Amino acid sequence: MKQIRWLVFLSGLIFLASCSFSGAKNACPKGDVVYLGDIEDVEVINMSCISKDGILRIFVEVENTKKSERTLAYRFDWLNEEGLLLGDEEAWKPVYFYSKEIKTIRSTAPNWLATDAKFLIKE
Amino acid sequence: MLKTAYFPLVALLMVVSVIVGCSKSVRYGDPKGVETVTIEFGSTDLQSIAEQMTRSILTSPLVVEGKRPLITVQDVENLTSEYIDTRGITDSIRTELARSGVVRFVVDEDAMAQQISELDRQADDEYYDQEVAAPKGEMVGAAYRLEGNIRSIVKQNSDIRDVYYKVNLQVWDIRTGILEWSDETEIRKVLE
Repeated sequence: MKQIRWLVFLSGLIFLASCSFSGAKNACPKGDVVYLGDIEDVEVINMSCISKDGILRIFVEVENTKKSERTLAYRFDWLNEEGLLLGDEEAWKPVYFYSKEIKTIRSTAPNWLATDAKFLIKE
Repeated sequence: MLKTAYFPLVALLMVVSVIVGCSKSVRYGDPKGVETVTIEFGSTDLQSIAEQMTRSILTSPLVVEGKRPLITVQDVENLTSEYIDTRGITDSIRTELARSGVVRFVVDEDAMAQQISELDRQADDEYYDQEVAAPKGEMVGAAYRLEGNIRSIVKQNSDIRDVYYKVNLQVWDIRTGILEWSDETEIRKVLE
């Protein structure tokens, strides 16, 4: 019985350790989402960040809640520690969604100075 | 009788509305906006490709903080059936990478003639102070070479025209010939 308790305890420790060392995605510091214009039936479900080799990577889960396929446009505004925009604005990028599709949009910061990002989406 | 009196006025209004309706106006647009004027390769495609490829290079093992490897750029080869200014793609990639500050670029093949011409000009001691003139023989060669190509598949019938672009870029270690990084991006455009 004692051995089983130890096994449970050890496996719990291993699980926690693996979570903390796997470079798990974290919530972005601020991670603002901006819906531009009259955009409907679209939802940003989750926005997470990971910093690898000092470069911020971002993952945004977007759901097209519409029953039809559509093309949306998105871009990221990369922000420095002071919350100021880094460099120029990015170009708007079209992204195609099937009906009710959830898509993960990934991007990487343009340099090491980016600590946060704002996600902008429009029709 | 009264009705016929209004005819010239109605005709005039119709002519004016046709003229006003047909006249075109000029306005400024967003250079970063999604452009879908025609199905051909456009600014949005160029910007998307450059951004995606640049960001991919930033996450490659090639880029290590503080190392800033030297790269030379070769033009992206256009293997599509349409005219594409591929120099625009390489220029955009180079500019964005240079802005990131993680890599440095050396003179590429296209700019070599201008570089040699400038060195020759400065070597002329009749006009230039040789103590501060750029000496010959001190240019630094690149450690890596960036090259790539763009291909397309075009399909069409009486109702639909479908264009698929695939851009592939590679970074080669010049000394060893090892492929250090490669990535590709796809774009599909449909005209209905």
